[in-house]
Amino acid sequence: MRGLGRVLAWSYLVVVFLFILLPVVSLVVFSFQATSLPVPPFSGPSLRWFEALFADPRMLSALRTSVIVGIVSALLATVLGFLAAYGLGRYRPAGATALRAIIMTPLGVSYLVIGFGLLVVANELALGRSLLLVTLGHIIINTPLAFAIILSQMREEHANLERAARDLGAGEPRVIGSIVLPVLLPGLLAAFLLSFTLSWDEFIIAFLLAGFQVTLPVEIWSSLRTGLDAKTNAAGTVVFAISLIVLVLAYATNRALRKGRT
Amino acid sequence: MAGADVQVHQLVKRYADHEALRGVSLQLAAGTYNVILGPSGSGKTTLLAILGGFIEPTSGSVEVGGVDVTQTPPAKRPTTTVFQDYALFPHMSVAGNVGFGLTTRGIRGARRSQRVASALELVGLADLGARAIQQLSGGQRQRVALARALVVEPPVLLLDEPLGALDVKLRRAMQEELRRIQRELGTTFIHVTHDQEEAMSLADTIVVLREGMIDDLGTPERLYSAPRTRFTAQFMGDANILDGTVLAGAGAGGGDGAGAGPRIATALGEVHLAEGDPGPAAALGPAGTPVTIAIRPEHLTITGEGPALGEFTIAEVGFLGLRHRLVVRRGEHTLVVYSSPTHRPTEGASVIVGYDPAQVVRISAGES
Repeated sequence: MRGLGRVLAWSYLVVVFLFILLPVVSLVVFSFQATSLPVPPFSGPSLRWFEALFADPRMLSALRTSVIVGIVSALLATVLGFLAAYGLGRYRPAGATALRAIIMTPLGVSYLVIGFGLLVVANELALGRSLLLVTLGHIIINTPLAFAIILSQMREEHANLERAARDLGAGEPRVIGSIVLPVLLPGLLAAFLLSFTLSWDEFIIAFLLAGFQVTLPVEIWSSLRTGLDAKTNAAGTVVFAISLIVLVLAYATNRALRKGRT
Repeated sequence: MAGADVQVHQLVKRYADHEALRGVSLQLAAGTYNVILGPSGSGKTTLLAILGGFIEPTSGSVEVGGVDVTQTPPAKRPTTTVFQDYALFPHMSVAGNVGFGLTTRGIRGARRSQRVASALELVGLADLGARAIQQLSGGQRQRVALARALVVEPPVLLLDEPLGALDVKLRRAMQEELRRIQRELGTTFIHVTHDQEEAMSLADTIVVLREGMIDDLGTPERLYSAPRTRFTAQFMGDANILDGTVLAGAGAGGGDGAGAGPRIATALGEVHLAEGDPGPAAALGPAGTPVTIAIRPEHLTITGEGPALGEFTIAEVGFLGLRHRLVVRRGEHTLVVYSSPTHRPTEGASVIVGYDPAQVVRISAGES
């Protein structure tokens, strides 16, 4: 009976993981396909589709665009999230709860609505679709996330550290630069890296708002329309790999920073 | 830098639902060790925070060295603080913490490192400059906090329950250290605590706070031996407080060898005061005036000396090392008595409790 239970439990685990990971695994596996169609049987391994990918100027340009949009939007979302979290968390102004709720609302709105809304506003203002709008959209979706992460890292005892710094003669800029930011560094890094991966992966807003220059997910989508090709798998593998690397980086730095301070 | 004097005038701090300070005026001399003593809720931490500039008073003023600093922000005040939780910067080394106040004052390079080194030496941590804060014990963290506050040579050092987190043995050692450092530097120390033993062993002057007001203020010896209020008498260790009235014929003396002092009728019988001391007979007022007296447990005996308060039953015996602490009872009246450890009292035994008339203290403000 116990043996049967174990078998069932393990089978369940395997099925769930297959369900979650199978699409990703098949995408990655067939990016190493030697023949042109990313369907069984597997004919690789071969790097020819990666070669083709990195020889494609449009893909490379989209990759570069995605990195820039990701870094800029993640940076600004982190800065805005930090300012809001510090102001609301430390000083608790009147209406702080309502303000917090307002800052968090974009998390509950679908990306389609945010992207469409921005598009409507841009049309009203006679602004063309552009990477600037995409970046703006990504800042909108990532600021609440950065805000929540950084706010969760703020502690009452940090207020005492700030008090001690002021007591020792530090002005506000020095309090922020020498105490607040270094103490919140794990949270700031986590917020930045997570914002980056979300921007990096994001399709709908980028699709609606990008003009002539597009981000990588949009480029992959348009290449899918022209036909099934293992080069698209290679592009997907690159996107996935970079997301994975950034997430592992976020986890590792957070761990290392935390370890130093308890 | 030598210490500065601190003057506080009519400080009031009112919050929405209560008054933390209700008119506190103080003058603390330069270069002295002052302890603000009170139970939690007495307003002592509020008072210290106002001195440090972290809380603005509702009304009243603070002067340090003759300069009004009531509106001065903490960064510009001639005070530094040792915080209760130390508030050491976790992302800096020991030397980084200690040198922080020097950096904000534009002191860098060799002068900075030399002053950091001498501050660390002062607190006995000469070799630990490169350590991370996380590698330090509680006692060491306490010393770093002290060095960090002292390195900028403040005229006034504020200490907010600095020894609260340490174990008893370490606390004793740190008390001696604090005393030595204060003497060595001549800085004015203002130390907040709720521990009366700590206050007595450290202070030149103790300020007893109660419900936002100064209850009593003076040297530890005076507060202990001749407290002005019932609250201070009880807060500064065990005390037997008796309410009574002045008896007619004060000064006539009795035939029981109690001397010629005034007499007071209490629920436990007549108590004789020594002549003129410590509460002058003249101040007692005419016969029938209500009066409150206090007798410390060490001034009561169960071995037959002095005039007697009568026969009591020993209800509790506690051994304190240097002495036994006895609670004795007659009817609903109880007294605390310290007896020598050589004499082994037994619970339930009957004893005659005597007292030393010279040590009976009349409490001036007898109310409450």
